[in-house]
Amino acid sequence: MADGKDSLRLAPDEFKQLEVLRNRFHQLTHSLNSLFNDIQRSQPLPSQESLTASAAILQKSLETIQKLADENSDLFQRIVVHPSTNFPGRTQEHILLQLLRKKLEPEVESWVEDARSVARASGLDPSKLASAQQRSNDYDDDDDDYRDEEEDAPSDPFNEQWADMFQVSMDSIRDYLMNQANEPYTIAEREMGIENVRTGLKRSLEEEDSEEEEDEDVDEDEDRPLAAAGLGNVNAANLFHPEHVLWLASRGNMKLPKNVDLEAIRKREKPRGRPAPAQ
Amino acid sequence: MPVEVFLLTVVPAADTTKARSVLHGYTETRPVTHRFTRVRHVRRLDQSIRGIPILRSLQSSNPKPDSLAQWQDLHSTLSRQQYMLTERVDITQDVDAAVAAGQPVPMSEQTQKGERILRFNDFPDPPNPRVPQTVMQRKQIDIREPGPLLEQHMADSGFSVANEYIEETYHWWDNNNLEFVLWRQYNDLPNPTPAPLVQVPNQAKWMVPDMSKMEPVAPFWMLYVRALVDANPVDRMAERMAEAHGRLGKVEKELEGVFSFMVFDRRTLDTRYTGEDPE
Repeated sequence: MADGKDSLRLAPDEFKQLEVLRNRFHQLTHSLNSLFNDIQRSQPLPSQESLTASAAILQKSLETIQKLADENSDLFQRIVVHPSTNFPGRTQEHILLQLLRKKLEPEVESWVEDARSVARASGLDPSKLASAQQRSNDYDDDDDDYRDEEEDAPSDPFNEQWADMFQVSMDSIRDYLMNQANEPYTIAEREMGIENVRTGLKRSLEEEDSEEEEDEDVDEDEDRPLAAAGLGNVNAANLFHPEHVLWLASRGNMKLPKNVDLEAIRKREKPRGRPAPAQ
Repeated sequence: MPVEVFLLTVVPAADTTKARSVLHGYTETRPVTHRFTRVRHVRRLDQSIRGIPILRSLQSSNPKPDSLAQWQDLHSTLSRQQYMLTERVDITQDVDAAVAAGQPVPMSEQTQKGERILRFNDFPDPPNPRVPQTVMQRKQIDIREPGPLLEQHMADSGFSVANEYIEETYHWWDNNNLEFVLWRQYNDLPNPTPAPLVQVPNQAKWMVPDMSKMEPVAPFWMLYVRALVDANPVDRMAERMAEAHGRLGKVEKELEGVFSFMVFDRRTLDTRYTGEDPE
């Protein structure tokens, strides 16, 4: 068959998407085999917890593949598989026909139909779920091309309600995270006067915010976070605190949360705690 | 579950040679162990998967794995809360090969199939007036298995790789069962994306960089003095913990003037995962 991105005339990014899809299918195959072996090994069956977890993993894999296919639908619809001129078609005709096949095999087609029947009997219509997911992606992407596809989807008031609810909930979450979560007091508390709010804290929340800003300013002015810890020979181009290194070891990234207390700018309390008892 | 008790401080890069000399002499360790470790952070994107779903199959396998007790501990922990875990593999020999070649080299078969460590670090305990301020402590689980087996177990449990970096370490041990570790990190790796947990056929091998050409993340090392307190027998745990505090206190006192151990916000070591991956 055609191999290599050159003979396929694909851009490197497009070839990469094919590779990613292939890897995802391979992972899915692995997970299915693992579940199959688990069912075969267990008597009579694996535990419900194990089956549920396996189903969740498979569902996640399928969602990932679906998302990848949706994002690259233009590419995948455009690509056509064809054998190269040196493919041994005479001796490998069976493989060739399998790879070029566009319709499902009869046995597989009957599995798919059986699964759809079971889903419908359970009250789930796969076509409705697919179009609802498509519609929710449409609202997120705001892409006119997808809106054209939406017009072709069957109109179902139930789907629209779910999509509307999804959009409203996402907007609410976004608003909370961007605006409300940063407010130390609620609207009602501000109306009654923040001085009347019993937080149980000795410090003022409003003063703490301004102090943090001042501390940040001090930090920027010092320009030598490690110098505050008594350490020299710091390259000015690498202004990292030890806390960044610890965060990298814990989380794998350098995005230290703002609420972390930095050792270099913290005022040490004296005395420094009781030493441990001597042996 | 074992508890790791440790001290932390910063050693500027310019002072590394002196620090290593001091630690050589203090611990009387010959020769020093110098390692490079690839560290991958793994987490579950699907938060509905709890515990370790494959635990039943591990328990029913014959023979039972040596690490079964650790898997059971991890299952209990992850049933209550999701965490970022780390998968660690020693790549020292491959690094030597890359430096000798003057360019990145593929990870060797020996390293790929060799032992890996899946490490869980709990969120450190809050400050306690009975524990010196400079001492931090947290539960820790290490699961050691051959690479392909561990990675399959992790993938089957729903984990995927978030990011990766390389850790360079020097190790010394003293007669008090304390480990002294000088470490720093490199995260600008030649591989464009982290290697997936399960290798797929024809996938390019992970490239071990030429470390002589790499720049560390920060212009300083971290010095980490640790004791691992066994959890068994449980009824004498408090006694063993106090003894570990005493040993670390003794180290701090004896190295006073040479190393100044620091008090860090325990939030820098927070490994709890709530589903957000930073952009």
